[in-house]
Amino acid sequence: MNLNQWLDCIAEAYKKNGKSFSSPIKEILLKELPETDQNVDIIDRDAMRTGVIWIPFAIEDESQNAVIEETKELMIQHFFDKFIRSETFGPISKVNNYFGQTVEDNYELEGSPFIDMAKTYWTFKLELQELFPQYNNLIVSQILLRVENFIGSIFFPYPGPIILWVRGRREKQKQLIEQYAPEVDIDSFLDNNPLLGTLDGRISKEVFNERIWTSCPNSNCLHFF
Amino acid sequence: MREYGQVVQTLTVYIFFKVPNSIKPLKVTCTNCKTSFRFPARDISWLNQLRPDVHPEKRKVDELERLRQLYNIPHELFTLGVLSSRWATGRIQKSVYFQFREKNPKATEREVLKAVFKSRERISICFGYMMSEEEINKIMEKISSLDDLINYFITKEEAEEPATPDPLGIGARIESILSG
Repeated sequence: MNLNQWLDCIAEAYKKNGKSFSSPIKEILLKELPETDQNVDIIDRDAMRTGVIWIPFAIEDESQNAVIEETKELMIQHFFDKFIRSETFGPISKVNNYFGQTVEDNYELEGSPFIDMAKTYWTFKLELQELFPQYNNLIVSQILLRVENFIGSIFFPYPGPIILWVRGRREKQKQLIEQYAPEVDIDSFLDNNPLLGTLDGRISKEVFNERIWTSCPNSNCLHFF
Repeated sequence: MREYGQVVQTLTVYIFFKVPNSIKPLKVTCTNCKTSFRFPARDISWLNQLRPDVHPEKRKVDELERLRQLYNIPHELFTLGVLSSRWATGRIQKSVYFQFREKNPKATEREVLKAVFKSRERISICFGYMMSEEEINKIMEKISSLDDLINYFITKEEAEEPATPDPLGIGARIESILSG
């Protein structure tokens, strides 16, 4: 999706919620952010340019902040609406190319709400990448990146040094589905979710092989020696 | 299921160890004191939302849950209440310290402290501010131990985010239970 298509998508999210996607709102979303601070590490700067991590920014104008927050919230809702309707943000073939196999084959699962979510999410993520690096410093790109990060960090955590506790992730997923997509069969979603380790198969096995840190609750052991 | 945690460090701070990442409750035995315990201590939503290295002891969990039920505090809000306590700030820094120490056994104390500092400071990026290396070094000149580092963050965060009104004293009660 190019920039105009993303703006149309945001307009649709506004419309569905009975709100008007006015020119002043569009103007705010198309504003450019200042150049990234030169103090920022070069690796981080490159990651911001390519949309791997978002650009930190602060805006003093409260009305602009309200627009940013509202757009983010509406796009999160829009994402879940599409998920409920088993819709995607772009052609699924792009995701299949990305994985080198179908989403179902990748997650070793078929006909589950989780697969619908995976298709909605991965099309969102891959279509969003079309905005980077060209439009990386536009507010709209940064909002969409935050939406993607928000959903991805909870439902599709990236492999990395930080291992999140699957119970915590499950709790958060449950909350979000209850909030944004109450129509979804939550138990079916959570119980058939390879990333939560609730199934057999490659990904679940990987989750269970992960280790998380905890501490001894014995007060004598816990206290300072 | 029985799992034996691997003790990573003892030294003068808490013992942290690793357990499998699972939705199922685990029976864990500390290799230091041989205490067996259930992890998580209880199946409570707010406890599930807390990172495992900030899980309080079972008796504290029970006391906290009684407090939460008394005021009917939503689980998500209660998790934030626990996480915003001084106790949690200290506990997280200690855990992060151990994790860095484990991954970088040859690092000097100063290097590990700086890495812990950066990991916490990095959170500020989300709010639009990124500290330069020079600024970090300047602050690190005054920090020579993990306790200094923890105190720095507690003081800084309290100054930056004035405590939200706590007319019922719930925040103070959470702090008191956790520190007790």
